[in-house]
Amino acid sequence: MKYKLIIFTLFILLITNWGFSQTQTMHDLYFTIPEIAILDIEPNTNDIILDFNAPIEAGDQLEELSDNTKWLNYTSTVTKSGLLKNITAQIVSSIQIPGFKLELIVSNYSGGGMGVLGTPVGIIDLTTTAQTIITGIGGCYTNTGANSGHRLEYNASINDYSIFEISATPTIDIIYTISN
Amino acid sequence: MKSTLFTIITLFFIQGACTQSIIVTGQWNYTIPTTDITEAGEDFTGTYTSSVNQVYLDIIYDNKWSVSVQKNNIDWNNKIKIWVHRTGNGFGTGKIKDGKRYKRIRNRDIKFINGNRARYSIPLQFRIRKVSVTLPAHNYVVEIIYTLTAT
Repeated sequence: MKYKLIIFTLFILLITNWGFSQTQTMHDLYFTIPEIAILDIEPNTNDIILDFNAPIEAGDQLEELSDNTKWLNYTSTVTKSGLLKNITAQIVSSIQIPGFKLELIVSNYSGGGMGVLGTPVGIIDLTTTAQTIITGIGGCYTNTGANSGHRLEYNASINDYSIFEISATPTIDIIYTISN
Repeated sequence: MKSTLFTIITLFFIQGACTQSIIVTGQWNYTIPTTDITEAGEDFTGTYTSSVNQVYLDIIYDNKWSVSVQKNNIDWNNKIKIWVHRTGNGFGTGKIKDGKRYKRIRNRDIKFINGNRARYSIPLQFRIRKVSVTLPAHNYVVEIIYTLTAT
């Protein structure tokens, strides 16, 4: 009886132990996608030159000047619970031109990018105060170069001739900022 | 009765002598550098490769064996694909085969390497693919599990 019990116990141990033919090991793998926000003006950051021409007929106003050759490209990542990003624009030149208006029209996104691309607010008059021009940018990329991203259209005009004053050819610097 | 007991005890010790173990040394911790995007408007390059000997596997067994690999998502996005392959044979008395080509690591066991007896310091390299800025910025973590099976 005693032998039978020992045999039975060892037999069970043998079977259970024999069946255990797998061993495991493991390690962690960490992979970090950083938060990114970069933007660029394309096809280049060369100056835009807008020259007012004298009116053909006395009494006419100066013709509005336009340029729509520039595009805004950007790449953005956002965290799972992070805020979407915005882009602002502002004039940073110290020279003030009384009576002069510089309007900015930002087009809807177009191009071969992907993700949660931003929405333009429409038309703004550029000033020395930062104004939001594109909202709701999530994880996305616009693709690069002209014809990708948002087209920037500048319209220059004189909105108050009574105070308009210009002494030399002024340069206006415009800065674009992407942030949360 | 005594002979039966003797046989079982012998088998028990024989089986006990068949030690098997698999040991991994190292891990991979990678952060996409901000220089990965050279121009605004671009996506990430999307493919990232570890060093050729990012981790080492030691396999100790006295017969034929196979190693399978799988992942366990701790905090992971399944759009990010992981691949692994061995870049060398390691050393030891045993033989090793398979696993030289990249194998995608999935959430279930995938056959990886076969061999026999002991092989030490088998170097493994990882590759991560399909990474885009459209995925959330985050510190992702996944567990890579290697299973040694007697064959």
